[in-house]
Amino acid sequence: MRTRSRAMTTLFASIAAVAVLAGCSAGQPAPAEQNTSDAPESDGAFTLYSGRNEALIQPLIDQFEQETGIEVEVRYGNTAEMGALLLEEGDRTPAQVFLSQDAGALGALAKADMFMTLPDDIADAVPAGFTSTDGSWVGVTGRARVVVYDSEKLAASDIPDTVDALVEPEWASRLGVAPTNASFQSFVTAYRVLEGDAAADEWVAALSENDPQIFENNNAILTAVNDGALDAGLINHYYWYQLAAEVGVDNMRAQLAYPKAGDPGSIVNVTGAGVLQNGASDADALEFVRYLVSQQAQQYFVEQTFEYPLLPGVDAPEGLPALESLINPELDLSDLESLADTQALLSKYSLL
Amino acid sequence: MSWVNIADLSVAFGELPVLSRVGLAIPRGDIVAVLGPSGCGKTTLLRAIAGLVPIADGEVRVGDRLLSGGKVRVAPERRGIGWVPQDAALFPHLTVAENIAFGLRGPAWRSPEARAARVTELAGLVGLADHVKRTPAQLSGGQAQRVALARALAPRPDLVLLDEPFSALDPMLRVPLRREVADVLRDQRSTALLVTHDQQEALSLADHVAVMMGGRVLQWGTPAEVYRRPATPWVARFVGDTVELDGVWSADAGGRSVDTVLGRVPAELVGEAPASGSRVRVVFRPEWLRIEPEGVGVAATVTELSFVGHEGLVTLELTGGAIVRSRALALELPRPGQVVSVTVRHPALVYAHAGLGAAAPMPQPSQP
Amino acid sequence: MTTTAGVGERTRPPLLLAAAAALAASASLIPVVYLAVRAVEAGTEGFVATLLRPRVLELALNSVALAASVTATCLVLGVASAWLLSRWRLPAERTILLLSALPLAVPSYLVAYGWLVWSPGLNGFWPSWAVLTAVCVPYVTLPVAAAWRGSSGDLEAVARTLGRGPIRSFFSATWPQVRGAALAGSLLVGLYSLAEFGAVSMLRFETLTWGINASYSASFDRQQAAVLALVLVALALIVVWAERRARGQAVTRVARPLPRGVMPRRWLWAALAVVLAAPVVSVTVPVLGLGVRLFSAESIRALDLPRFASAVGATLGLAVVGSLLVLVFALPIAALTARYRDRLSRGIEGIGYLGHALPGIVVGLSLVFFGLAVVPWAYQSLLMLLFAYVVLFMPRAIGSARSGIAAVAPALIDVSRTLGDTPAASWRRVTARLAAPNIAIGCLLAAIAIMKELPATLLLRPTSVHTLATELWTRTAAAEYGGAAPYAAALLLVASVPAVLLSTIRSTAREDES
Repeated sequence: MRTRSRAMTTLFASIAAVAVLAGCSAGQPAPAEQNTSDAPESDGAFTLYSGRNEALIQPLIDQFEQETGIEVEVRYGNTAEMGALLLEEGDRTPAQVFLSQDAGALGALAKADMFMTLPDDIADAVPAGFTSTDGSWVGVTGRARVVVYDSEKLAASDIPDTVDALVEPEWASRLGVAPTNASFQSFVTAYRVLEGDAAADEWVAALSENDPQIFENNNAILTAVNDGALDAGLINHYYWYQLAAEVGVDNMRAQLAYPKAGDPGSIVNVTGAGVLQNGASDADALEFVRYLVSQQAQQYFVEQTFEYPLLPGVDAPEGLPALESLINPELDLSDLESLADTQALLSKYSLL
Repeated sequence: MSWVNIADLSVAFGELPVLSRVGLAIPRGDIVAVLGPSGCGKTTLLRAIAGLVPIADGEVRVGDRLLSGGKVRVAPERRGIGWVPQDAALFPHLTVAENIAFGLRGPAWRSPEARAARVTELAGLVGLADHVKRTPAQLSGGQAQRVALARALAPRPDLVLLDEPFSALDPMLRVPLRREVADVLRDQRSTALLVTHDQQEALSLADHVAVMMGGRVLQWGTPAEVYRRPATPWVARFVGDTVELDGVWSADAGGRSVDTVLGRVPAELVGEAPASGSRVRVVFRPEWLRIEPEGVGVAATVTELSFVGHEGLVTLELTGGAIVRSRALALELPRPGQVVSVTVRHPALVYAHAGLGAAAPMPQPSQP
Repeated sequence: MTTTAGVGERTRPPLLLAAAAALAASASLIPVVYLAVRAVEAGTEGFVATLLRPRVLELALNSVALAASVTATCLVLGVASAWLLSRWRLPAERTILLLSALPLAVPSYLVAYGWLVWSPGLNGFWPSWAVLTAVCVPYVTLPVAAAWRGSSGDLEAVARTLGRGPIRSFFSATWPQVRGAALAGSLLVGLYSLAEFGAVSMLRFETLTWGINASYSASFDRQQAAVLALVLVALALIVVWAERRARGQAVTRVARPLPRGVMPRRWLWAALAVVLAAPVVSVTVPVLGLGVRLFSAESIRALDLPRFASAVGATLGLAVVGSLLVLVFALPIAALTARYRDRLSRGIEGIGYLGHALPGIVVGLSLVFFGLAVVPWAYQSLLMLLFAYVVLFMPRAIGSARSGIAAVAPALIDVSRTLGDTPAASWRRVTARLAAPNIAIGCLLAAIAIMKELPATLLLRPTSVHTLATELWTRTAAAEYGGAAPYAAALLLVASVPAVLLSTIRSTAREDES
């Protein structure tokens, strides 16, 4: 047991220290790294903030480290938290690269001017529609929107090939959605862009009146369907493969159905990466992002995470519709203005 | 010079004055009782002396040290004052021996042998030599109070303060314990200030008594003085039974007598002299009135008799209807209904003001 | 004069103590200041517009309904359990007491998860209510049982002899003795259920915390998140205020404990059902659920032992150091508020409780903001993470330390002062010694909370530090239920150590029962 007086001394000492240091730091400009020359330099290490899961990403990073000798310090979290963290950190961030699970977070950081413009060889590696429009970040993988259904209650043929049919009364209380999730919002944005705001408004209204089952994320919907608690839901394809890898494909009660090409329900969400401003002079950071869109890394994603590769020439995982059929260059999924409109629409019908 | 000198001591809690210009001068080795009703400020007086509450004005000196006064406020732990609280307040996590040894710190008590010897000495002194290993929960109330006393005395304080130390005890225990405590205090040649609302306790235990009321000291004196010549009728009532009558003061009678329903009786003036012929309050102690056979004095009828063994208190109705009481030894008690007469065997006390004495001048502490 | 020594004299606290307490409480203000900055940075119009959205009201009402119902249920169930545990002889008493503390060790998201394994369709208000109630009941049971063990049975007997029935004598005589402890526990429950996120999100009940998270994750809208969090802070302040109004000046004196009764056999099962409801709901069912998931998972990945060991080590280390640091901050506040009830002291106490009502992500982000602006050298260091734990978990230590310190009779302090103790020595030799059990309870509650904490840990930890909670999260997020199981088991095991210790501590200072 410490005495109170000693505790207080410690307290005062630490507060005094804080105050002194605060005074020191306040007088100095932010310690952002200076661009002494245009040519990025390599120091053999950089820091990555990953909004993607450690179990999926770390093997790829190990591979990268082995090949290049560059050390990657990775901080894992979920994309929302990492995005918020980076916004809070601003130009003081210790990170040089951000790897995101969705385009929205990348758009938010790009809007806050936190990304450097990527060199053309990286920015152009991925076709338009799956990457940023201004080179602030690059798409890495794609996830198709799918309908997941309970194969014990429904046959594949029962699942309509358009999301419009899923808001019919017959699906009342049977459809799970995750309106707060970035991937669902991207889908609604796509609906607005492809079919027009009026049609999107109608669809969301119909959904809202149809007693949709609200979940926090894709995984929760998938689990509910797989456990027989929910008939169907709108998710990204890749969660199914994750679960199948864990419990075995044969044990999957949930199955996937793909809306027809061109339907808003068939769009592809992208994951991506950007180099933060203070990584602009760091050759290692660029090297890593370049690696993410390399043949080798793309192949890794195909095999290990069952995602769409975005690099032309790399084949999609077996059983998935071809990416080419899903391309829609008009979409900018990181467009926050558009995202805000989508959110306004969802909140109009109390889904958000 | 007295050992403990308290002068003009005032204490206030916020706006509320609790002590007003209290003065006491206590000779070394004296046991002083501060006697007063609940809420009169006597506990606050002790706490102020101990340094446990800040004072607003005045000073406290013990020996040649100024403890409180001006800008000086010596911390309680550096005053050398022992404290025996009302409910003993033994440390529940320590044994009796550890409680007694609690204050044995500092250079003088560095050696464990010295501490152990002192603990043994005091435990023996309070009659608990066999109980030193017990915990406070295993002690009776009286034992706990004795440990509290031993604990306060152990570091040889310059002054011991006792805050109603016997009030929580069984009356059967109280009297012997009181005597025991007085003996211990005298044995240790301690100067002690004891607070109580029990006049019997104050009168029997103390060398001097200070009577307090409303944050002021109304009277200071030996127990006999306070009892025999109380400064106000209120003090008279507070320290014992009284017989109170209205009277007319006659200055021409040489200032020594007063007219009452008991006739013109010898009187002793207390305080301010009233104008001749003015009404005054006349106070007797019941034992100052003697019951005599019919015809010897003022006639009276015995209306009530309250008997307490060796003596009794007799209520008498005078022929005019006035009621007086007399205390008499058991052997001399009359029967109820009996017609007797009443004589006065001690001069009556005469007060110009009948009130509580608030208007009476502040009694100054005597300087023995 | 028979008043307890000097109630009136102590209206003004010593400057040094008040300053230390104010300083400690100001730690809790950091997130609030941060929220205020974020909430109005895009202009007050945006702030007002966000605040007035019907969605905000809906979320707030959901939060209030959940917190109120969970608190009320915990109060009833906790007091009933404590009464059974402290006033009756039950079979296998020590085990039952220990079990009743166990729900504290289980993170609420694990409980929700375990239940979903059995019944995937669970969602909405009632399941959220059940899970939170089960997890929170010990916050009431433990302090109330401790208070009863030290309280007097005489009052009840007197009330019965004065013609009151068992129920009325309970409310007139028995209840007042534990009211302080029960309300302090309820306060924790209320704040906890307001700030809870994991379980409500899994059970799909949309509360303010859910909305805060959605604001971050869907729209990166820090203003909306801040507005929602400020609403949460306002609700928390109301809870603190209500508890204080209800608490009043409850002073309990320790007296003879009542001999405990023997439970009639026909009531035994009912009694056990009351006492064991929470542990069964929050421990047994979810643990079995996790086990089922573990065995049904096909690809159980090999356990990375060094990593597992380092997570256990980090969890233990953070919990020990963090809870001691929490104590350093909580003690001045507890010492101040135990003895002084002036406006300043009550204000400081209220502020100290704020952290309890803030979701971890809000505290985490505010410390990112604060850390980078004020102490960049400490950013992403253990120091920062530990400080976050202080902000989040200080309230758990304040309440119990305060009641322990308040139970130390002021006369004991006076005596020790006159016997030569400086205030510091008196604190060390008397107050701290006597209040030690309650101070330890506070410390253990903080330690358990630290072990389970996730969002702030994720945001603020040094990059290389992994705790059991972060590892568990990593694995469940990737649907690696098999890989997650050892971490879940370890977390339960590690967190149950302080929980078990908690159930064995006797709260009252007097250890005089033979």
